[in-house]
Amino acid sequence: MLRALDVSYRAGDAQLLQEASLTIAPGRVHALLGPNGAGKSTLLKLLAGDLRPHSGAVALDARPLGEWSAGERARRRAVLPQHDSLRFGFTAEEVVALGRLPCVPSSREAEIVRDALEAAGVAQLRHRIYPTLSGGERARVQFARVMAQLWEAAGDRGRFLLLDEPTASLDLAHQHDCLRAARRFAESGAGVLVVLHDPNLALAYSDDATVLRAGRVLASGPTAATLTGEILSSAYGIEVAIHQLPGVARPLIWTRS
Amino acid sequence: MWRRPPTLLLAGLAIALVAAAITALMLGPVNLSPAKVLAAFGIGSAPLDAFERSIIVDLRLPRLCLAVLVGAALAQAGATMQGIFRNPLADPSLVGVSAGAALAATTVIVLGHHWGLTRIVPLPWLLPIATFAGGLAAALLVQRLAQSEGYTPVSTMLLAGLALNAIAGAGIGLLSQIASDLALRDLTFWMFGSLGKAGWRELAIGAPIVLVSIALMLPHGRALNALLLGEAEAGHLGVDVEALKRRSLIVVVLATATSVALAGLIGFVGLLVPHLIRLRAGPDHRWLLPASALAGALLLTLADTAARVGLAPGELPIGILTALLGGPCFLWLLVRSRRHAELL
Repeated sequence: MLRALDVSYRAGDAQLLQEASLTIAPGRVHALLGPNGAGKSTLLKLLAGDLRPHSGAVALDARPLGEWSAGERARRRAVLPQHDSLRFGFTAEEVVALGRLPCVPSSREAEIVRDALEAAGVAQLRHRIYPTLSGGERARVQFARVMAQLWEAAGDRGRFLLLDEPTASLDLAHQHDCLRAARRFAESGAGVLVVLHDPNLALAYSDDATVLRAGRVLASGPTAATLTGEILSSAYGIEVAIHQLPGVARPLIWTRS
Repeated sequence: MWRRPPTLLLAGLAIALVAAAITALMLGPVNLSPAKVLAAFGIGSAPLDAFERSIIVDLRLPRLCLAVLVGAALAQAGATMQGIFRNPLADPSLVGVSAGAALAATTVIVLGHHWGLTRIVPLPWLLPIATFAGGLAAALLVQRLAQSEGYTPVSTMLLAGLALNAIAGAGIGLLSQIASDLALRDLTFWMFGSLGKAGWRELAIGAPIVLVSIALMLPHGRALNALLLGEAEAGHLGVDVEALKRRSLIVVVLATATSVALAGLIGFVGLLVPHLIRLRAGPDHRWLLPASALAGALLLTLADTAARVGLAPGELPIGILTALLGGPCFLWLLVRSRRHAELL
């Protein structure tokens, strides 16, 4: 389990998070939603260990995150940042291999990198020079990198993948590919947290969901029970309705204007 | 998974360096055959008289060692600095580290005697200490000035370096006004760089520092690679980013400051060499660092031989030659990176 318990965080005068709690369980995809500035990225950074909460606690397997060494942490959780800033001419394959830095070297390194590229749908880009790729292609290569970091099941201990808006620069088809890959990764035993803007994607691919508003948790729980019209309307301040279309397995979320 | 380890490149550079070294020992006012050069090291049985041995061992060999050492130090310092600033245009001479070191050295040369410093610490020791202090001060200043939110914008960094270079240049100019004739000749040497000054005594101090600083950096190739992803990203991969940056910066300053103490200001080596290696072998620091050291040593050996032989009996200051080569290449890099704005 990777768990934030009643965490609060301020930057200057701004209270970015107020007693927020969230649990990522192995084998499940957890969607984190909320309007811009609600504190999604801050909560993700607290869970990653980049920031320390002013109050409350973040724990990995019931042990406070601060007590883990950087190396131990790196073998258990990986973080996909919102923006990339790599300007040097590595190939896509080399970028993914960078993800293997904290791992115990195995004889399967080349295979793992290839599998991770495959899982992110970028196997065909593996010899391309990273800075020459498009924004969406770069995002998928980075996705492959963070999956490679956690590729081998660390025994039966949990591995946690934190994805900060992985779909932001992707086209419609690739958004679904990306979340399908995240799902498969969760099915291999990892816990996945994914920050999303589109509640339809959250409904389609996540098991659990948390909605933040103004630094507080507005709702949290199984996705279908959490992403209701009422809660989403309240979170985003626009009228949201949920329709169950005949012949479609999942409900669809509409905004009324 | 990785590009094939460029062992061929490393081997080729090493062979080229040996060939260049032998050539450097052969050429000069008195030209000697390769067999005689080898005989001076006890290889083969070519006849070698005491005069010829003295030319090789006492005159040309210390100079060759200096070229190899300074070239390797500057090139690897450049590669390391580009890694920690995550910027292919970072270079100890461009961002003012060398200038800070040279200003400190000039101060010691001109005023050290007045202040009685040279009576406490002899000049061959005092110089590396002063250049290290000056270089470190400049490096910390640039880092403070240019870094914002874990990212170092190129333009700010280059502008900070420009200002530091101007300040150091003014300081050196000021000191040259009050310098004695003897000290003045030394100052010219600092400004243009020369491999003709150091003898075995200076080398005995400088060589261990440079070799240790190169060796200290080699195990951190993978961590530097991770740092290129971004500081937060490297942290997520388990790299202690602050420690890595601190260690790297000290190594950069050690190598640069020692080079300045031994040979004055020699610019552009740290910019040019890693760039050429990246074109050939990619940005992986595990190969970039050793390959840059070898190629830097090769470049300075060749450049110094050309500077000695080309204008004999005079010689072109080596710093002028590297600026002649490096300046246009730097401009070309700037133009190219403007065209590929995203690459900067």
